[in-house]
Formats: sequence, structure tokens, C-alpha cells
Amino acid sequence: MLLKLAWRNLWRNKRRTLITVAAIFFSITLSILMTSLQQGTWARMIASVVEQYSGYAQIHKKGYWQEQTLENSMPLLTPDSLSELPENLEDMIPRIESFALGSDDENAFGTQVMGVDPVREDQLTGLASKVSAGRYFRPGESAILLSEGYADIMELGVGDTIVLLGQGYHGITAVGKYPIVGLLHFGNPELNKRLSYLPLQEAQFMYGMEGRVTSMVLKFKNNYRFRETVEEIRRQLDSNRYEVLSWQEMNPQLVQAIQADTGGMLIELFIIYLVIAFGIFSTVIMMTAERKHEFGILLAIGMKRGRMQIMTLLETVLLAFLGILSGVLFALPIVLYFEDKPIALGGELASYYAEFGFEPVIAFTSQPYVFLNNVLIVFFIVLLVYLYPFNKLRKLNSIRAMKG
Amino acid sequence: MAVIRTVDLHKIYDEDTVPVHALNGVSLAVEEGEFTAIVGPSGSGKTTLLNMIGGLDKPSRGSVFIDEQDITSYSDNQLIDFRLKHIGFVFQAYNLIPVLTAYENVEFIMLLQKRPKEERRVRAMELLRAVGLEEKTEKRPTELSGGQQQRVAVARALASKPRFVLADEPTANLDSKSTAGLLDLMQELNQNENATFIFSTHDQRVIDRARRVLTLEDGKIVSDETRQG
Ligand SMILES: Nc1ncnc2c1ncn2[C@@H]1O[C@H](COP(=O)(O)OP(=O)(O)OP(=O)(O)O)[C@@H](O)[C@H]1O
Ligand SMILES: [Mg+2]
Repeated sequence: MLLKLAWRNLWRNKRRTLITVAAIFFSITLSILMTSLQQGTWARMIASVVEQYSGYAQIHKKGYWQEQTLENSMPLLTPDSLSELPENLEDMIPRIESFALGSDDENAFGTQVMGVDPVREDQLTGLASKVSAGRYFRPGESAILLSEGYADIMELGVGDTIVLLGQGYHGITAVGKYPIVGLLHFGNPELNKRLSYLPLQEAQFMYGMEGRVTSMVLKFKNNYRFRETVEEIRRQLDSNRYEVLSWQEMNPQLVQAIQADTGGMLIELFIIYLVIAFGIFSTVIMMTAERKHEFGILLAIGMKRGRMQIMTLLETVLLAFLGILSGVLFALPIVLYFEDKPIALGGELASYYAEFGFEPVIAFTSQPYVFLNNVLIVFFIVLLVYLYPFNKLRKLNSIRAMKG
Repeated sequence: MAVIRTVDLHKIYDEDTVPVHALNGVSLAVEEGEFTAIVGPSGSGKTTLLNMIGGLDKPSRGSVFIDEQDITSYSDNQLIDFRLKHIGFVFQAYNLIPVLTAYENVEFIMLLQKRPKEERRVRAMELLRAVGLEEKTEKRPTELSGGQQQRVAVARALASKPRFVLADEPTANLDSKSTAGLLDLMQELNQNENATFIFSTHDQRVIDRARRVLTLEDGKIVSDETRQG
């Protein structure tokens, strides 16, 4: 009965209800799209850095991240080095990261050399799938893969040979000559123009550091729980010898940028929510005020305040629900579509992004929290607004109400 | 045994600022089946008296007994329940819930009382027939004339078989034809259903139909006249 009453009361003033529903609809759509876009773009950026490059966490010799030289390398670690294997840890993947000057007859440019285990690196970052020309490493082969951008700068292609020259472990001179068997495409433009990949053994040999690595990248079964596992590993390793760093600790600028951006958006969202709040509030005030006489009658003939409060709660919730539901239903397909097909930026905007090392792509995410957060906030607003009729009804005096 | 008994009822409004003595010691008794008009000049305290009897407001002094129960000691919630179970109300105008049909308005009281559906239907139809609106059961209040709305209000007031019906100037907004019709109806229900009616009015034609006329002046009963009829 209360629901029927509430529903009909809602449509007493069709136009006002529709306008309010529309206001909620637009705000919820906007806030969902904004959140989805922002979180999606950041998630993609994190993925491009974290899942395709740094991993969620790494182990180094203590001090390596501060001073990334081969002197801060360490002997290869294996999961067996841990006294107790964390359940969530799947693998530890060795890497050597260093620099070298790449040259051929005409050009010489610096490159970041990654010495990797071809099979396990592919499992971690999907390296093989980034091959855009030529092919991936074959087992036991002495060859190099260049990022597309770097190959461009060097004016080299598949089938050519490159000579690397650098400083090895303990100051020895590192030299190597490798056939280019493939080119790699990285979404992140910064990585795309500086990375070169060697099989781990080749890198160890060239840099004169057999059996040593600069980092062990941790691979987790469940990335959402990686923090606990990092803690577990930290406890087990000698903190005087090793550092275990999360991707946030390795990329503080990225974390800062995300925080700054999120903060900025919170302000925008706050304004949107304010609009919703006032929209609902003014409607609810009017719905309460214009029915004063009626509430007075209801109270006089024996309707309890509590039931009237439930009735008005239903009205407010229904009002919000219509707006929220339509907004979510409208935003959902948009979000799903663009999550599937991120928008690639072109022109100046793209180069602007590239300058900051970001992939020039706008992505969306359909993570449930994007919807849930916004819906919950609106519901919270609605409950706050509801306090108005709730309180009016609590203090309602039927004689005075019927007079006015 | 009186259905309603008031003892030395006083009501003073705005006690702290400029006190208004709306009721000045009203003692009266109303028996079951009465058809009583409360009359008197504007400001004499008619509405105030009806509000006290109906448990809508509390007296400053004195008591109201309904079936010998002192309702002045009831809490707010007890009073709401009491009104729902024992008193029917008809106000001057805009009595009805605008979003409910005539039928639903009559049924509403019984819904609040959690009566079974079939009982609600039978009683609501019976009353709507009695007030001559069996054709208008599905109409919303805005689709009814003022007279028809007041008839629905009377039907609603009687729906729960209350001990008595209080009506504060029920005909004030009606033309003479509707006034006569509503009074015919109330009289009929008074006789057929043995419903007790207490109503206030300024209208001489309405006063003429009452069997008992209580006249108030300055918050006091100045005459109490019962006619043969
Ligand atoms: N809520 C109130 N606050 C202050 N004074 C009030 C209030 N209600 C009524 N009064 C005063 O109490 C007195 C009696 O008012 P009441 O409404 O009972 O008169 P009434 O006989 O019903 O008049 P009318 O015929 O105009 O309806 C009047 O002087 C009125 O001004
Ligand atoms: Mg009055």
C-alpha cells in the first residue's frame, strides 16, 4: 500500500519528477563516464608500465633502485632462496637492465638493454606478442630484438646487425655484436624508442656478470593480493642485502600523477553531486511542503508518523532509483564499448601524451566499483535529503498542518 | 454510559505571550446515537472543542473521557491509534488523499487497520452505495465535486465503524443543494448505522437538522437544547 501511494505521489507532478530524474540521470551518467574514463586510462597506463615492463614488484640488491649500476647487481635468486615459499608467488624472473651505445656503420645511439629469460619474460609481459616484424628469440640463440622506435632512429631492420658497446661489471668493457631477428612494438612511446632485448645469458656474458642479475621480477598468481606477498617476502629476505619494491615505490611520479589527477576529478565529481543533491532536495522540499495539509489529514485519521516516513522514503528512493537506473543503463553500454575499443588520440594531443611517456589512448573501465561508488554516493545523498521530510513528519502537528 | 464526556475543559493558547482562553470550562456528555451540532460565533471555541474530543490536541486543564477512558493522558502514538480505531473525522475540505480513488480513500482507513481484503471491499462498497457514489468509485478526488468529496469523506469516516464521527463545518464549502444532500446522508447513516455525529456549523439550515444543539460563547457552553425529532 505504501509503495503504491509513494509511486502515485511521485507522479503527481509529472514534469517536476521527470526533470529531477533527468538531472540525476545526467549527473550519474557523467560521473560514471568520468570515473570510468579516468580509472580506465590510469589502469591502462599502469598496465603498460607495470604489466608490460616493471612488473608489480621486484627484488634488487639493496640500493640498486637509487643507483642503477651493474655494481649494484646481485647473484641470481630463485624462489628456493626463500625459507618459506609464499603461496601467491608464482615465479621470480631474472633480468639485467643496463645501458649501451648501439652502433652500426653510420649511427650511434644509446639504448636500454634488457637481458631476459626469453620464455619466462614472455610469460610475465607477453614479450613475444609485441613482435611487430621478424620473430621472437629461439632457444639458445645469440640475437637481439629492438624496439621499433629505436630501430627507426638507428635506421636498422630485421636481418641487420648491431654492435653494442658499454661498461660492464667491475668496469670491464662490454662489447657484443648481434643479428636483429625482430622488432618490438610498445604502446608506451617512451619504452618504444629506447628498449633492446637480449637473452639473459648473452647479456650476462657481454657485461661480464655470469650468474648475476640486476633485478628479480616477481610474478604473482593473484595481482590484487601482491602487497601482502611483497610483505611476506620482505620478512624473509635479509633487509641489509635486498630491497623488495612495489611498482608504486619504483614509480613514485606515476603514483603522484594519479593522485593529483584523482584529486582533481574528485572536485569535479563533488560539483556534480552537489547538483544532484540540490535537484533532489528542492523536489523533496516541494513534495513535502505542498502536502502539508494532506499529511495533517493522514495523521488526524490515524496514519502513524512512521508509516508516512516510510512512504516519503519510498518516494525519495524511487525518484533517485529511476534516475540512477536510467543513468547506469545508459552509461553501461558506452563504457563497455570503449573499454573494448579504447579511443586512440591523434594529432597534437597524441604527441603531447607521448612527450610525457604516456600511451596516447583514452581507455574506459567497467570495473564494478566505478558504478558502485557513484551509485552509493547518490544513494547516500538521497538519504541525506530524506532527512528533511523525515524530520518534518516527526514534528508534524495535524491541526497546524491542516490550517496552513 | 456516555460515549464522550468532558470535565471542566480549558484550553489556553499562547500561554506564555498573549494568552487566548479558547475553552473556559466545558463539561458535556454525548450519548451513543446522537446527532449533535456545536454552534456559536466565530472564535467561540467550536474547533478547539472538537480537536480536544478527537484527541488532536490536549487541553490545558480538564479531561476528555471516551467510553470512560481518559484520553488526555495518552501519548502521541497512542492517540494516533486511538483515533484510527474509534473516531471518524470529516474536515471542512480537502479531506481526501488526492492520489487515491474514491474507493481507495474509503478503503484506506481499513488498510491502516489491517482488515482483510474481502471485508474492506464489502464495507467500502456498502458505504459508497450509501453515500450515493457507487458509480464514482474509480474517480480521483479532483474528478469529484465538493459535495461528492465530502460524501466520500463521510464514507471514509464511517468505514472503521467508529464510536463517533466528528465533523468540523463539513458543509462550509458546499452549496445549499449539496449541503442538504450531505445532511440527508448523515441523518440516514445516523439512523441506519446508529452512527454518532457531532458537527460544528454556522449554517442555520444545518442547525435546524440537528437533534441537539450546543451553543458556545467565549469558550463556554451557553445553551444545550435537545429537540424532539
Ligand atoms: N493555534 C492557535 N493558537 C492561538 N490561538 C488559537 C489557535 N487556535 C485557535 N485559537 C484561538 O482560540 C479561539 C477559539 O478558536 P476556534 O478555532 O476554536 O474557534 P471556532 O469557534 O472554531 O471559530 P470559527 O467559527 O471561526 O471556526 C479563537 O480566539 C482563536 O483565535
Ligand atoms: Mg472552527
